[in-house]
Amino acid sequence: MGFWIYGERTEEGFHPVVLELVGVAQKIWPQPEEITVVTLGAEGARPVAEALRAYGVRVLWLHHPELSYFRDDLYAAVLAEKVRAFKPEVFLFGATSQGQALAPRLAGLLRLGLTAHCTALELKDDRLIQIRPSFGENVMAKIVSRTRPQMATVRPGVFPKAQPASVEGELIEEKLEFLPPSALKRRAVFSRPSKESPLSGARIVVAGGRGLLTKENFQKLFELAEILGGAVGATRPVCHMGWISEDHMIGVSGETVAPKLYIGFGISGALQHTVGIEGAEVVVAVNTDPEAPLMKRADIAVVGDATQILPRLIRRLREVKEGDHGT
Amino acid sequence: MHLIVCLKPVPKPGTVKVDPKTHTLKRESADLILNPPDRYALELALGLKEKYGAKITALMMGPPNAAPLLKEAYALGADQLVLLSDRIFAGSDTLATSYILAQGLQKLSPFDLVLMGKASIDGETAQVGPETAAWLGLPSLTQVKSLVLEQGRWVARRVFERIEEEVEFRAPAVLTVEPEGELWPPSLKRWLASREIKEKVFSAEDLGCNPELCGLSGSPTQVLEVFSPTYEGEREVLSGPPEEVVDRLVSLLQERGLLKGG
Amino acid sequence: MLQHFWTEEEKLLIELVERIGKEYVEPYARQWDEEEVYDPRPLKALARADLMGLVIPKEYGGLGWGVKALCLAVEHLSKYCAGVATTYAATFLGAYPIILFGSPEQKARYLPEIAKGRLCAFALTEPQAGSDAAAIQTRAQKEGDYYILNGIKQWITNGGIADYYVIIALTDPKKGARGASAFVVERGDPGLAVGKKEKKMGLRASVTTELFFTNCRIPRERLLGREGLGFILAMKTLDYARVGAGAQAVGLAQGAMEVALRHARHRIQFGQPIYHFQAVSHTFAEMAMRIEAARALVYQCAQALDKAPKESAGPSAMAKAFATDVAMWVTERAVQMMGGYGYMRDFPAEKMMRDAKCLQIYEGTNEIQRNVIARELLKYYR
Repeated sequence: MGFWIYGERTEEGFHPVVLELVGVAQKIWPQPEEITVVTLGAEGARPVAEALRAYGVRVLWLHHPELSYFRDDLYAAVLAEKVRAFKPEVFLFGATSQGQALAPRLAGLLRLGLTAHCTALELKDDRLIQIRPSFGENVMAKIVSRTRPQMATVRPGVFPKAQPASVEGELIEEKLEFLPPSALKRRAVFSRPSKESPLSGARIVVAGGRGLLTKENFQKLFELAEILGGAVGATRPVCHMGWISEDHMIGVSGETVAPKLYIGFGISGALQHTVGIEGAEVVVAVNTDPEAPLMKRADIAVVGDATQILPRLIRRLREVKEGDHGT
Repeated sequence: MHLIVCLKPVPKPGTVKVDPKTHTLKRESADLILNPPDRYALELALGLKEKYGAKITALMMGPPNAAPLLKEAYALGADQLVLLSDRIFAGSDTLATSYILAQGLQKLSPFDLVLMGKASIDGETAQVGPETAAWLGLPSLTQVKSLVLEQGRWVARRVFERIEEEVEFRAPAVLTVEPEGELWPPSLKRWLASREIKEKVFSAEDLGCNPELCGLSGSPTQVLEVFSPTYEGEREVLSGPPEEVVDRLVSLLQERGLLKGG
Repeated sequence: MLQHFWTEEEKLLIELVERIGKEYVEPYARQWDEEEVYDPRPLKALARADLMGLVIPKEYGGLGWGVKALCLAVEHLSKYCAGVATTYAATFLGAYPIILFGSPEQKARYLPEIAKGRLCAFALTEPQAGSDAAAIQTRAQKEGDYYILNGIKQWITNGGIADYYVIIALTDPKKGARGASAFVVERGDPGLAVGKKEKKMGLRASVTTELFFTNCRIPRERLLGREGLGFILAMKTLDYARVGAGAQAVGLAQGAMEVALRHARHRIQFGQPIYHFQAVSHTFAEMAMRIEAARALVYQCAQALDKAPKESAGPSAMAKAFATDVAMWVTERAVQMMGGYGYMRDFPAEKMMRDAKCLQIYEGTNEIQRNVIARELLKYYR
């Protein structure tokens, strides 16, 4: 049973990242019949487990009434037992809240290596090359694990979803008789006010970093966004400085955007931020330092002081707009 | 009540210099700060201390030059300072780090709760909390935003993407804390007093660590290589007086049809 | 530029205030000014940092430091927002009468709460009694174990947000100024009403209101000192407050100079940073000289208050008038040095200039300060 994927369930079925993991597995793993989605649940989870078969993967459904909701210790203990029994080569998790709670607990129980937040995966000589930005350093790191299964969490939204396959996968169902005890008991669950990111679906994103120097300068991005019909994004440091709320943060700990146009003002381009804009079609960077990473990566690199360029760009675009109305 | 808050020293953003040849971090050149997300764990502990009365131990794994950060933790409200420091700890990945922390926590037991930040701003793995709990055989919860004690049981409010849950458990447990709410500055009185406070330092030997499980030898993940991401495609560089580059930028965007709404 | 040889403790204090200024004040100062709102968050940060207890004696939960330390805190806070510094400093204007004149019972009741972050206010001014403070009309009539207060106080900093108010009222109108007494009124006392929030030119992050007393009945234990001591108490308190206003002015001027200097060094006109034009650089040289002179005077005066509080009226008046005049001059020049950017509300300089104006007016106008200095001169050179 070579390539395992954790089948995280939500209220609406599988988490979208599961299909993304299936997609990448089908691309890199030479024996597609070995790709297995492992999901835990109570009897009610059957339709969800069934639904995945359409993507041509094997589904291992472990069920017991006590597994009806996610519990860190219980889920990790059940998975640990199955990993010991089946010895998969790879075990991937989505880097979601649940994935990030479960994968490290499992890795700790089994004394396994675990790589967080991968943005690319390769297979080389049976080794899973786990690629992630090495934050703070503006480099990507290729990481391998000495232990088996090779475990990684994968950033949601970076891989395309798997497509339905012509042949259905099999469903292996196992009703668990004995469960290890859990110290956790859910007392209540609340829906979280769905914080739709102001950035989601934006076709134009204007973002600012520390190079804008002050909160006042940063505020001007809203004017620009209004003129362009876009949304405002930010780097982590400026969110931490209180210039803007974290809902606007782009990057590892924030949102992933894929706009037609992205303009970054005073952003050096730490990978922490740029992993969130990989899907942007046209990247414009404004920075005094032509050697800054974002400037090198940009399609249009504007060498200049972002605090000077931003107000002028707003003025110029206003003129252009008014000119349009005149004609 | 004994609360242990784990704090990580991290390079202050913007002070890290990168070696232009090797592209690696010159860590020694950076100023160290308390990992900001860990401040939320400390703040949560302070709230519990105020409400229920507790001793707070600040636990840090790091080089000797990180010790002043523990004094800051004292100024912020921690009562006891512990540094786990040994040359064989260097190069630890999250599994080795969590082993060392677990050894330190055993040395400090009994304790009620271990609180950590959600993730560090340099590693961004969010793994050490649950891994440490696994080493200790204790329950773990991530992204906790509040805690109350009800008749000897803890009730945590915990955050997922779309839901929040209320979970009941008994101490001891290892929790990571969601970075939400307010952070407050240190107390001047405690800051003045911190100058006289000495942290306890434990080496690998003091903790009874198995050297095989520490540092590089205890780290199953290895960095094969690092590389700079490259991007294909032509790059247009605009420079000159601001007015001019703005004009050229606007015409370029117009040419590519990027300024039409919708 | 000039070295001041602060102690280790004072350096820690400065570092802490700077940190609070940068994290809790600077990013929001423009917004508070624009929206004219009071935000309790920076005050809570100051309380958490023990800075509300800076001059409260140790036995009442404070740090027990002196005026000099308070001036350091006020100065460094004012660099980031003179409005927030006003809310902070005005609390000590209300606390000093209790520290200086309160009975042990009064101190035990109020000072620990103030050290924890409850705000205070000091109420002397009335509609017809500004510079002529002796013209106050608010009455306090004794009735058994109570005093009944009636009257209006005007332009009271921290009105409505303070928990404790020190009120100067006449217990014996026939004696004029010698018939005035000081009382502590608490938020929620029956008969105390807070009037409308004033709309101000500057210091807009701080709150200024009227206070109305209508048969406001308070226990007689609220009397500070004894009857007839009201004016002496007020004048003594103002000696402390005036040097604080001086420190506020120094911080504000320093902040304005730094903002303008950053601009002048980066703004290119005629092919070079404008700082390199002599008309500009000499202006900065003048700013620096005046600020250092004001700072030296303020801290010399603060030290004198800590060591010999009796001889304080003249020096405090000098520190207040000189430093606040410097702040007005420096902030106006800062706006000028930034040209159009100085005038725009998107940039911080114009706010600083508006803030500075109030400093020349409150805690006794600078004209009144000169009266005080002139009067003290004749006492000194008999």
